[in-house]
Amino acid sequence: MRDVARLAGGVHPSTVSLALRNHPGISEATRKRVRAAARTLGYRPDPLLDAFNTHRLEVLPHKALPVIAYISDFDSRQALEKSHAHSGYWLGARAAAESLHCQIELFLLSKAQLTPERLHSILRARGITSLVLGACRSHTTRVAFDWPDYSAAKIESPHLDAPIYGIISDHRQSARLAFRKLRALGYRRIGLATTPGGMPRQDELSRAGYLLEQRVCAGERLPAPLDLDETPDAGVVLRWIQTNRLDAVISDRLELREILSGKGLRVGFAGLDVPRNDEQFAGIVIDHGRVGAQAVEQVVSLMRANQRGLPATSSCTHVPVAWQDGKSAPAR
Amino acid sequence: MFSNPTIKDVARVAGVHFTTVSMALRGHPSIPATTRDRIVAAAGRIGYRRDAVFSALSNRRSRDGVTGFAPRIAFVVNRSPEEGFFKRTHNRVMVEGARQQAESLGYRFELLFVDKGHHDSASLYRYLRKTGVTGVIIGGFEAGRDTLEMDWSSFCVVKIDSRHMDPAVTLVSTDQLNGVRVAFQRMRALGYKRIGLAVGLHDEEGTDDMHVSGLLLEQPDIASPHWIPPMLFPHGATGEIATPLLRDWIRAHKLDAVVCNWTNIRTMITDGGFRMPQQVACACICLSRKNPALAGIVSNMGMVGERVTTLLATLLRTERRGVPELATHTYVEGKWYDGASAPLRS
Repeated sequence: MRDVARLAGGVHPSTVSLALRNHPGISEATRKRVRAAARTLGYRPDPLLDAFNTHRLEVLPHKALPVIAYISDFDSRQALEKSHAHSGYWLGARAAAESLHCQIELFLLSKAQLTPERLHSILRARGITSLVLGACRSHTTRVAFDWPDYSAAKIESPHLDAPIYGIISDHRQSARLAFRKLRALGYRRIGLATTPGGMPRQDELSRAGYLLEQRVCAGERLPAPLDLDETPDAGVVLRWIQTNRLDAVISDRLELREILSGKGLRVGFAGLDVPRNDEQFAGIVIDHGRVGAQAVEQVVSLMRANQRGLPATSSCTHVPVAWQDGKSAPAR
Repeated sequence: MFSNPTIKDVARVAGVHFTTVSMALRGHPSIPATTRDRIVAAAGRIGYRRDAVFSALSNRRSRDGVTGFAPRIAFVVNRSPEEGFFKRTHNRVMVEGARQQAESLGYRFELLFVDKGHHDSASLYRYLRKTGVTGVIIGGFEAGRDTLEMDWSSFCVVKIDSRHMDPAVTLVSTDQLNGVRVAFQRMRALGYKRIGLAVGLHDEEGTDDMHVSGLLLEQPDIASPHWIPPMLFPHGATGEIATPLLRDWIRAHKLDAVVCNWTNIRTMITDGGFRMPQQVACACICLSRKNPALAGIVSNMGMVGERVTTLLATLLRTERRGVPELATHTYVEGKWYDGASAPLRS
């Protein structure tokens, strides 16, 4: 590193270290010069030392671990923890950060308290350059960052159209799996009712999965998916079920099950995100923890490769889901 | 007994000096076989294992870090250079993307071939073990050619495409679902009304129905009489078999545009007796580079190579070897370019 410093016009070795890690505090011109000098001398990062450092950190607790900012658009930590999905993402992210020897800190983005601009200046001041956008909900439409400064990944939130790496659970597979499992349990007339207003892109993927399976039993003329409002109208749902003689419903809204059983309908129900080990609900179990962990691993990889900013094209990782039997869909 | 046994604990149990333990475990010839066996047994009993990281590091230090030891990543493909591996642009771009990322993360990168005159599964396994490669990328194995059968438990392994074969590990591929969607949206914006999707059944099955998923999102109303079913060319279909199928399908549904994943789509349309693009326009969703004559999506194979290497580096860093219970799939988007095969309709 000292050799590189000398060749790059006599900068300080610590500048070399910062420049090779693409630190935003070093000007682009200097970074370029240092990179060129490093190339000339054949200096390159050493994954073995990196592994050694990881190993060493396991033995010796370190004072200044790199910090990852986990950004969520809840108003309070309590509200976040109440949502089983969001608390799952956060806990998974935290565990992964710990095992990769990084610190992770929760920042709550909300209109009143913390605007994206304010957050950006906080992160800048603290030298935090890696962030995970934790499943922003549809009302958060704008996350303005100076992307070139950050290594970033986002959980879900496809509506935020910055092409940063995305991690989602496999919603297409969820609907396919639910459909197939219901068929195997003896259901034949299976409908899909989802909330496109909530998470439009997520919703589209489950729709694609459902329609794919529908093609397999084209003879049964199953209905088009039903769009639910934020508060599902029981009358509309019941009419849809009766008109189409459905014997099972797949939905992202668990409250539909109450509505169905309240009316004494014997219709099977499979949720698209049911609580694990809750024997009441049959449906898809999403591994939110793994989604959160995958996002952190992604960001750590970017950090280690010193890759910041927006990639040329976006890419998205789909995390697999699982099925759980339950009382809401007994075998026929 | 020993929560984290060291070489000194082994020495105490075996009643020898710790340097003897070190030499014995490395199989040094000056230690008699009986002593070695006793020490190995003692190490096994108290659960001592050589630390790969430390030993690699000291190995490197003892060589005074001239070039240094670098962990190795092998990128394995099932088409040899003699069979034209490098003739295909997307292969070159994919390998280059992986190589650059591997080197920028500090790994040594090696391209290996499983094909006639090169490796088979058994020799590949031996080679990987012998040379100490721990990270393996299965780089887009083509169906109908050699596959891999080996015990993966000692490797960190990821793959590009290759869904038709084991192991079911972390996978990266191009985003066909989004590709189909973008192609339909662009063709509609260019003024086309009756757009059909034609893909090989083989490709559709090999991508877990990603093409048709994209179609269903762009044309969700399957029940409508105007719905245009996809054309799925049968397994092993050549241009001669596919062209009449394509022609009849275009006629039956009165198509004015075709979105296809075959790069010879223009020839197939003209061979079917249509004027292209006046009567039937087309776009290809699997271009390996920008082509002014053919509209469509250019796959970002470089990014596919880069992503798969990054994911492998994470597995290597966290020591996750073998085949996971459920693997993630990562999709990389391509980019649309207009072309003469799909001009703006007036």
